[in-house]
Order: sequence, then C-alpha cells, then structure tokens
Amino acid sequence: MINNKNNKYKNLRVSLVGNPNTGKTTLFNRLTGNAQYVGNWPGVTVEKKEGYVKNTNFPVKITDLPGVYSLSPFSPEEIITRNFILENNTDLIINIIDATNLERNLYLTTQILELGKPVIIALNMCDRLQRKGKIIDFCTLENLLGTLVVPISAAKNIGIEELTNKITSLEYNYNKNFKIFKYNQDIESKILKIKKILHSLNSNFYNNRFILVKVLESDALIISSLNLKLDTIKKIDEIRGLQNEIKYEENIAAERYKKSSEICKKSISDINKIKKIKISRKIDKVITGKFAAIPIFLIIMLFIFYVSFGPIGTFCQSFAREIISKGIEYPLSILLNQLKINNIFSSFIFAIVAGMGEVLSFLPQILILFGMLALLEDSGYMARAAFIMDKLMRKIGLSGKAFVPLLMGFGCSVPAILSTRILNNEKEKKLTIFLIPFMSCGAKIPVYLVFLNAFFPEKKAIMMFLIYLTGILFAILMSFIFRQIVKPKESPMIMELPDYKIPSLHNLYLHLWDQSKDFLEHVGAIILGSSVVIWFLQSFDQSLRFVEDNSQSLLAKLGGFIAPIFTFSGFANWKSAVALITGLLSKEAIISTMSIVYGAEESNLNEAILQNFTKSSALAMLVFILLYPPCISALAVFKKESDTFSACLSLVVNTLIALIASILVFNIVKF
Amino acid sequence: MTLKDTKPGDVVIVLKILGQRHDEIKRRIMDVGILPGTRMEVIKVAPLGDPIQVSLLEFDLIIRRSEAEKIVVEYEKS
Repeated sequence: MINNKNNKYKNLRVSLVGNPNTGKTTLFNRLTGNAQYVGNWPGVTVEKKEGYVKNTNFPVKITDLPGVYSLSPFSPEEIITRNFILENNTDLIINIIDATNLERNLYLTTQILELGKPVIIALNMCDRLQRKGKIIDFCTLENLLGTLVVPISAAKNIGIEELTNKITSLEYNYNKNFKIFKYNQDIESKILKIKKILHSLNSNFYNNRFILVKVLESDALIISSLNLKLDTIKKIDEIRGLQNEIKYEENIAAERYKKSSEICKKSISDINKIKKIKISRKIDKVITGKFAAIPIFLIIMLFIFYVSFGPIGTFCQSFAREIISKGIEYPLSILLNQLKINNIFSSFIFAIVAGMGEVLSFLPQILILFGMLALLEDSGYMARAAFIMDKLMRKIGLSGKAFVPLLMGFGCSVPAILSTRILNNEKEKKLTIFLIPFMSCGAKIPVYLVFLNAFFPEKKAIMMFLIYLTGILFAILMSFIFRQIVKPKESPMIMELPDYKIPSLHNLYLHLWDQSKDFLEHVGAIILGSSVVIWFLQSFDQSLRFVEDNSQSLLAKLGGFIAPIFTFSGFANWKSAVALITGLLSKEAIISTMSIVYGAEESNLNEAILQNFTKSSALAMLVFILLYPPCISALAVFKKESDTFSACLSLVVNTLIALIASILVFNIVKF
Repeated sequence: MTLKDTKPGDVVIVLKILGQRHDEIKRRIMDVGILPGTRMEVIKVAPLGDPIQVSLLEFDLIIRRSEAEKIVVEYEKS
C-alpha cells in the first residue's frame, strides 16, 4: 500500500506557508539544508526559494511561499501564495505556526484549511510559550483542526525529523476529516446558494470552500478567474445584496478570528499566571527610546558602512583582486610568454582575467554587508529601524527600512542595490534602486580628487561636500518627479514588531552562500561580457587591426563620435568622452583611461587636466560624473533586482540628467 | 475617537474600522487581528512622532498615524 503511494508521488510537492516572523525560513533551511535554490517569482521581485527535503526515500520538493497574514488579494506576497496553491502546484501544505501567537496564526490556518488540500501544522516555538508560563495541548489542537500537528523548534533543530517522517508517511492522505468550520447562519446560507450556482454551471470550483467564500467576499481576482457570465455575476450580486460587500468582508474576517480565538482558548492553558513584562520591551526602552534611538541607529549604520567599505572591506576586496592577479594573471603571463602566444590572444585572455577580478572583488563587500544586514534582520533590529526612520523616509516616498540601502549606496551601488531585498514593497524597492546611483559611490572619490586637486586644491573638503549634497538633492528631486508620474498608491505599513532573538548562524551561512551563488551566476557573466566588449573596442581599429596605441582604437573613434554631445558642457573632446565611456565599465577606470589618453603618468595627471579643462568645464565634468549612469556591474544588479525596462530607463534618465546638469553648471558657474 | 488620538499607556477597545469596499488598508488592519471588540494597548510613539507601537493579542504592531486614523476606538471601561 505504502509502496503504491510512493510510486504515485514520484515527486511530492510541498508548500511551506505561514505568517511572517514564525521561523519559516529557519524551518525551510532545516528541512532542505544546502539543497535549495533562490530565484524570483515571475513578474515580481519577491524572492522564491525552492529545495528538496533532506533524508527522504523519494524526492520531496518544497517551496517556501512568502510570509503572509492572510490570503487576501492585496500584496504581491498574498497573491503569489494563494495562486500557487490554487493552481494545483502543491500536494501538501505545511503551515508553520508560532505557538506564542496562536490566535493570529490560526486566522491564516482557517483560510488554508478551506483550500481543501492536505495540511500539516508545524507548531513552532512551543518552548518559548512554556517560558511565558503557558502550555499547549497538541491533541486538542489536532482534534479541533482535524489535521496533523507536529511540535517543532526550528531554531533548536527539534522535531524536524518527526516532521520529515510525517511528510513522507503520507498519513495525511487518510486524514480527510478536516474540521470545516462553520460561519454564522447568514454567511453559510449565502455560501450554499453560491455553491448551487457554480454547481449548475458545472464549474470545477463548486466544492472549493475557499473559492465560495471569496466569491461572497466579492474578491475581484477570484471572480474574474472563474470566467463567469454577466448574468451569473448579477445573480451572485443579488445573493450578496448590493450594499453588503463591506459587510461580508468584515463579518467573514470577524468570524474567522472568533474561531481562532475559540481554538486558542481550548488548546492553551495558563500554568503560571505571573504577568512578566516582555524583555524586548525593556530593551526597546533604550533602543527605540526618545533620545537614544536615532544616535544608536546612526552608530549601527555607520559601523556597518565602515566595516563594509572601510579598511576591512577594502582589504578583503584587494585581497580578492590579489588572488586573481598573483594566482592567475602572473602564472598565466609566464605561460603565455613561454608558448609565444600572439599579442591579440594574450591580451584577450588578460581582459577576461581582469573581468573575473572585477566580479570577485565585489564578493567580499557583498558578503560583509549582507552578513551584517542579515544579523540585523534576524535579531529583530531591522523592524525597529523601520519604526525609527519611517517618518523621515516617507518625506521622499519611502519607508524607514529604505534608509539602509540608500546609505550603503555611498559605498558601492552593487551591494546597495542588492540589499534593497530587505524592502517588502515592490514599488518602494524599485524607487529605492532608482535613487541609489545618485548616492555618490566610493569609486568616484579618486576621480573627484584628481579634478579638485588640479582646480580647487584649497577648497577640496567643501567641494566634496557640495558634490555629495548635489547627489542627494537630485535624489530627492527624482523621487518627487517619480511620484508625480507613477503616483504610487501609498501602501500601508502595518508591521509586526517581533521580539528580539539571537540570530542563527546556520541561517546566516545558508543566506550568504545563496547570495554569492546568485550574484556570480546572474551578474558575473554580464560584467565579464562587458569587459570583453570594452577590451575589443580598445584593442582594435575600424579595420579590425590590433592596435597597441589606444588613440587609434575603435574606442577613440567612438569617443570622437559622441564628443559633440558635450559641446555645451565644455568638454567636447574625444579624450574626455573615452574616459567617460570606460567609466561605464567601472568608475575607477576613468582615471586610468585619462592617464592613457593624455599620455601622462597618474601622478602627472594634474598638469594634463589643467591644460585640457577650465575651472568651469572641470566642474561640469564633475557634475556629469556624479550623475551619469552607474557602472555596468551596478546596472547588471539593477536589472536583476528590478527589470530590464527599469534598468534601461535609468540609463537614459541618468544620462539626460547628467548632461542637462553639466550644461547648466558650465554656463552658469563662471570664474 | 480614533487610535490616532490615543497616547502611550492608553488601553482601548476597537469599535469600527473605517474604509470603503476592497480597501487595502482596512483589510490589512483586519487581517492582523484588529477587529471590532479587539483590545489594544498603546505602547509608544516613534522618536520622530510617527508611527506608533501598539500591542494586541500576544504581539506588538507598528502602525502609521494615517492608518491609525481608520481605527475607531473607545477607552476600556475598567
């Protein structure tokens, strides 16, 4: 019998569903270990995690669905979750429940049970409940819900084996006695009427209680998915009563909570009535307190910034570059010399190696930054950061958490754009990504310094400050314009403030592993490819002959071709144009290109710049460099985290803004 | 009186959630467990004056004043 079942499920598909902050990701990591992969849900940038359950005798594929409080049709997370289950992508639902928050968690469970799929409840954090002086009766809960209940502690790795066994035992297949919970009489009679209508239409859904309830709630997405005729919709509207849509939405939610509360009361008993003040509240007296909150927040942020982009991050970055140059480039050059390989081939090889170095050099900063952000998220601080900064960030149309990626943008746009994953709202995430390039990144500092050393050696500090300020002001302006055009509906910030907890190292390790794999897979190729393109443009002339002298190359021609664009900005020569083009590869390349095209050592670049620029045109160039599109690596992660259209739009918009601003500066600021 | 008009330390009972049909904010409010009859305690206000932190059922929630305005409440009768 069991064997038959096993054959039937060559590949059992399991979905993991639950509220946010229930330890869902931890459970997913415990069940799958390393056998997981991360992607995006089609069309949205909500993270999709899939994997295979460890230690099973047949493949069990598990999908981690986004954390939701309900299966309402509003947030992308809710729509993804319910569509995934409704579209028959799942044989079994594992509903993870936080035992310390049973009542609210059961509200989602009452909806999941209506879907009519096999459900196993993974009851997490029972140990914490006990520490609160309460005890939960699993058998009562199991009976009241009519499903299997498995107590676990995801954080302590308890009960995972039991849960895996329950998943593979397929016991739940025999467990058809779901307790379909009854609403009040009025609602029940309406559900029955809708059921009859759907039944008479031979709709497959007439037996799906979830669909029936949603039709009564007049859930637009579900109703349109049923492809009902107009007169059927009219009939249903009559059953509901035209003025009653709000009433049913409210009443159904209220009935569900009533049921949850009942179950909760029956299955949890107080063994210790002492009411303790939550430890988290005590910590929060300081952390989110009136006076200390903002200083502490800024200290934490600056610390993260300092570690990621300061000496430690830079050291790791140059270490990664060193590995490539000492470990690959040097032996390779000896080898190529020995083999007497021709110039073209060896220079091609070196272009690829340099590209690899570029890709790898991002990894340490990404790992450090992501590691620390994951610790903030896991410990519960990130929710506090949102609480503290929300009012300020809303002024530019963002929520509190968006402060973090924007600040990191001053270090490097690549990890900053990747870190927008901490944002829960799709539109907000896109706007934040769009604004990050305006935060002048660290790689631009040496470029600014070269120009400032030449023209404003006395006023370097104030000029630097003005450059950064200009970037920020443009970001504020762009956010304003963006909101005028897109008019995004303000999405609510109704967010749970989870208790503080000690972050799990197992989660951290898996998270960092996923992130690096993901970055190398999706972004590495683009960076590598564009290095090769620039190499090609730099090394060949228009008749495709290999040239040693860059000024003869296709790149120089291209520079000459676009230089007239800068006529009104005061730097319309092919040399600046070429420097700016290579700056698209990486901002550091601007200086090395300038020293090549001006035929000057980097130390003598001062002279060359003084000869080729005036104060006004130098300022215009600086403003252009500040505002023009970020490097190709940043654009690659831009595309990855949003979409191709947005990345292209930002490319065009930033170029135009930079051009207009540089023209204004050149013509208004005269010395 | 709405939740917006309360201050830290207040204990209130929800009377009604304002909002039209298919109102996302209203639905979110209800989905996290704020329904007529729910008892809430106002814990604190963020350092910059918005949002506010409330506690209900067994958990703490942060909610903006613009959303709190939709929640009609009365003081709990002791």
